[in-house]
Amino acid sequence: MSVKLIFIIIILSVLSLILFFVFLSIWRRVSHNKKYKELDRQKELYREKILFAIEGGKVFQQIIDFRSSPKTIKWQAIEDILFELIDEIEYEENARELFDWLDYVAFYEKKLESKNVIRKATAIDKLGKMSSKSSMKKLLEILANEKNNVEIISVTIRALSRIGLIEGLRGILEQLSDLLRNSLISRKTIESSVINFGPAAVPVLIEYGRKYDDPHIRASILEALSDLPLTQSSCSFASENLKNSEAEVRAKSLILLGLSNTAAITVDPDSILSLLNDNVWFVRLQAAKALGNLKVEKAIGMLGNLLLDENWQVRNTASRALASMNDASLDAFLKILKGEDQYARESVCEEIERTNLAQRLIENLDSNDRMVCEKSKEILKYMSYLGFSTPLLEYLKNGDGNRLKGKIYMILNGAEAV
Amino acid sequence: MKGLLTSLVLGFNYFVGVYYGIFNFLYTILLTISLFVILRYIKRIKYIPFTDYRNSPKTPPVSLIIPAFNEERIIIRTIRFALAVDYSAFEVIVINDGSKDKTLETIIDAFQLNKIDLVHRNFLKTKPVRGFYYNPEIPNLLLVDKERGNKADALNCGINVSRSPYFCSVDADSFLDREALIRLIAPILESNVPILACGGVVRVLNGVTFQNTTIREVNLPKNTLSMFQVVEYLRAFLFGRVGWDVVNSLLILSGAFTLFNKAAVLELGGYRPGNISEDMEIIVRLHRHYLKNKKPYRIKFVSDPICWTEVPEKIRMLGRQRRRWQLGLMQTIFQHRAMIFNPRYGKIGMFVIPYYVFFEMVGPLVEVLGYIIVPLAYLFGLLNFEFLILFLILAIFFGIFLSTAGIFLEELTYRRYPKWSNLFRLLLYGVYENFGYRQIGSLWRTQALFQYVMGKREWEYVKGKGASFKEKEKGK
Repeated sequence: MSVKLIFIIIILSVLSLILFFVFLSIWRRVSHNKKYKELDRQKELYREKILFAIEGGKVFQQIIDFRSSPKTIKWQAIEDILFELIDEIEYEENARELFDWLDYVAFYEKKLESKNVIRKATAIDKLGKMSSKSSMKKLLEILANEKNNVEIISVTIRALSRIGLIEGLRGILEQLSDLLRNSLISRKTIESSVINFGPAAVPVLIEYGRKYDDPHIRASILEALSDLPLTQSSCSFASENLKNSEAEVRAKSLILLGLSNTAAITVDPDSILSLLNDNVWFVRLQAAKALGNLKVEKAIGMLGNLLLDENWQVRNTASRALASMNDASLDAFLKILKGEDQYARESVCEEIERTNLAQRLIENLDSNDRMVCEKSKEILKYMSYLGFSTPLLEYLKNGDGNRLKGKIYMILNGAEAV
Repeated sequence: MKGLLTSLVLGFNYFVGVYYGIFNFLYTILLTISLFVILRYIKRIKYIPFTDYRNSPKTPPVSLIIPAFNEERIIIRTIRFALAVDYSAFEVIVINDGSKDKTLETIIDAFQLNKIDLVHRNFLKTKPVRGFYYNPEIPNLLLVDKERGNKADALNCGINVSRSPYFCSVDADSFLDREALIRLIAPILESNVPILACGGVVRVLNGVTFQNTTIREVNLPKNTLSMFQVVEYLRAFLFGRVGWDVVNSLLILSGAFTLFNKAAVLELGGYRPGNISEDMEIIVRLHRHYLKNKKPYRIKFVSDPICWTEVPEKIRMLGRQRRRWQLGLMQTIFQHRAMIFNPRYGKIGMFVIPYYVFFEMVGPLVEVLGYIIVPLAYLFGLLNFEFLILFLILAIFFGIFLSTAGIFLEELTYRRYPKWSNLFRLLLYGVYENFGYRQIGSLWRTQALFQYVMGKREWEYVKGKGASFKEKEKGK
C-alpha cells in the first residue's frame, strides 16, 4: 500500500470521526430535549395526581394509575416525584409505601445482582434514598461479601445510614474493623454516615466502642458521638478513654467532653486538667479547648502556663480559653504580657482582640472593682505598647462614654512608659 | 553543501511527520481515556452524597485565598461569589498585593471592614504585611494588605493567615459556582490515599449573565478571540486533564481554582515567588517530594466543579498570557530537570515530564519551523505537492477532530451551553481555530521559548481583560 493511500485512509477516518461526533452531539441534544420535555410534562401531571390521591387517602385504590414499566418516561417521572416527596415530612411515609407498591424497591433490589459496579451502586443508593427497610438485609449481605470494591462499600454504608435501622448500624460496626484494616472505607465516610442514625445510635456506638480495642475505631466512634446529642453515657465513655495510649483517642475524648457544658451532664474536670501536660500537642490543645468551653476556673493557672507552650496552636487555644472565662483570667494574661516572650505576648494580644475580650477590658475601666479596673488598664496599656491599640482607637472614634475616653487617652499616652 | 542542505530539509520533513504522528497518537489515547472516565463519572455523580457532605460537621474547613493586584474593577464581585459558596465552614482571605489602584479602598468600603491587629506569622517568608481588615458581621472574610510581591508571594501570605487544613487558590477575576467547593472536596473525603491537590474546571466567564451571585444564563461570548478560548478550555479541561488524572500524572492544575492540602504545601515551603507559573511548579514539586520519599499520594482533577474566569479579549493581552504560560512551563521543567528520565520518579520522570519537554515545550517551535521549512521544501522541489496538501489536510482535520471531541464531551456531560446556536457556534469555532488562531498561539509560545533562552523571564501582566459579561439587574 502506498504512503499516499495510507494518508488518504487516515484523513478519511479522521473526517468520519469528526462527522460522527457532530452527528452524535446533535442527535443527543435532539433526543434529550424531547425526553426532558416529556418528562417535565409527566412530572407535572403525576405530581398533582399523586398529591391528590395521598390527600384524599385513595393512594391504594388509584395505584394502577401510577404503575408503569421500568425505563419508561412515566416510571422515571414518578420516581422523581416520589424522591421529592420523601424529603417532605408530611409525605415521607406515603412516598416510602409507594416505592414499595409500585415495585421500585423490587426493581432496584434485582439490580443489586448486577456485575456492573455503577449499576449496582446506583441501585444501592436509590434503595437508601427510598429508606427501604425491607432491603436492609440485602445491603448488609453486600457489605459482608463485597471485600474489594471501595465504591460499593461506601455507597452501601451511606444507604444503610439513610434507612436508619439500628440493625443496619450494628451490621456496619461488625464489619468496621475489617473495612478499616483493608482500607475499604475512609473514616470520614463512616463518621459522616453514622450520624444519620440519630440519637438511637449512641448506646450502640458506645457498646461497640468498648468492644473494639483498635484505636482508629475508637477514635471514629468518639468523633461520631461528638456529633450526636450528648448523653451522660457518651461522656462516661469519653472519660474512660482519656488515658488511652493513643493520642488521637485522647484528643477525640476531649472534644466530646468539651461539648458537655450543660447542667444535665456532669464531667470531672480534674481528669481533663492532667491532659494539659500531655506529651502530644494536639491533646494539650483539645484539653485547653475543653476547659475553656466548660469554663473551669481552677484551670486558669495551668492554662496560663500553656500561653508559653512550644506550639503556637496550643498557645492560641489557651488564650482563647482564658478569654472566654471571667475576669479571674486577667492575671494569667498579665503574667505573660509582663514576660519577655514576644511571640507569646503578641498571641495573647491577638486573641484578646479576636475574642472581643478587648471590649470587656475597656468596659472594665469603669468597674467598681478596683482590682479588675487596674488589671484591665494594665493589660490595655501593654496591648497598646505592643501595637494592638485598634480597639482603643476605635472606641475613641465611635464610643460614647466620655469618662472612658479620658481613661483611654491616658492609657495611650502612658503606653510608651511600659 | 547543497546536498547537505537537501538532506537536512528532507530529514526535518520526516521528523515533522513522525513527531506529529506520535503527538496525535498520544492525544487520541488521552481522548479515549477521558471519554470513558467522564461517562463513568457522570453516572457516579448521581450517588455522591454532596448534600450529606455539605451538612456534615466532618467536612473540613477551607480557606479561599484570593490574591489581588489592581483588580478594583472586578474584585467585589469575586468576593461576593466566594462568600456565596454552598459550604459548611470556609473563610475568604483576600490578599491585596500592593495594588496601585483602589482595590484596597473598594473592598474596605464595600464590606465595611475595620482595621484590626493580628499577629502575622511569617511561616512562609513574604513581603511585609501592612494591615488586616475585618468586619465582625462577616466573620469569614479577612482582607490582608501587603507590599507588592507577586501572585506566589500573595498566596504564601494567604497560607500564613489561613486557619483551615485546606486552602483553595482563586483568581481575582474568577467566580466560583455555588457548589464548586463541595464538589471539589468530595474526592478528598472519599479517598483512602491522601489527596494533596484537587483541581476543578475553569470555564470562560465572558458572555455569561448573572444576577447577584448566581449565574443566570450561560451564553457564548460575542468576541471572536474569547470564542476560540471557550473551545480551547473545553478541550484542555474535558479531555486533557481528565486523561492525565487517570494515571495520577497531572502536572498542571489551574491556579484559578485548585484546592490544596495546606500541610503538604507548608512542608514544601509554600509557593516559589520567583516562578512565573507558580501553580504548575507547586504541583511538580509535590510530585517530586512524595515520589522521592515514597509516600502514597494523589493529585486529582474533577470535571464538574466549575470556576468561571475572564479571558483576554484583546490579542495583545492574550499573547502576553500565553507567553507567560509557556515561560512558566519552561522555567518549571528546567527547575525540575533532575526528574527527566529518572526512574526514581516513576512514570512522572520517565514519561510525563519528557512528554512536556518534547511536545509542550518544543512542540510550538517544531510547528513554526514546519510552517517555514515545509513550504520552502516544496518551493525548492524537495517535497511532493500531493504530500504537502495531504499533510496539511490531515493536520487541519486532526485539529478539528480534537475540538469537536471536546465539544462532544461537553454535550455528553454537563451541557452548560443550552442553546442550539451555542452548539453550532462552538462547532464552527472548532473549525475556524485551525486557520490562524492555532498558528498564532504557536508563534507566541515559540517567542516565549526564545525569551527564555535570552534570559527574559518576567511576568507579563495581563491588564483588565475586559470581559463582556453582563449582569441582569434585579427585577429586570
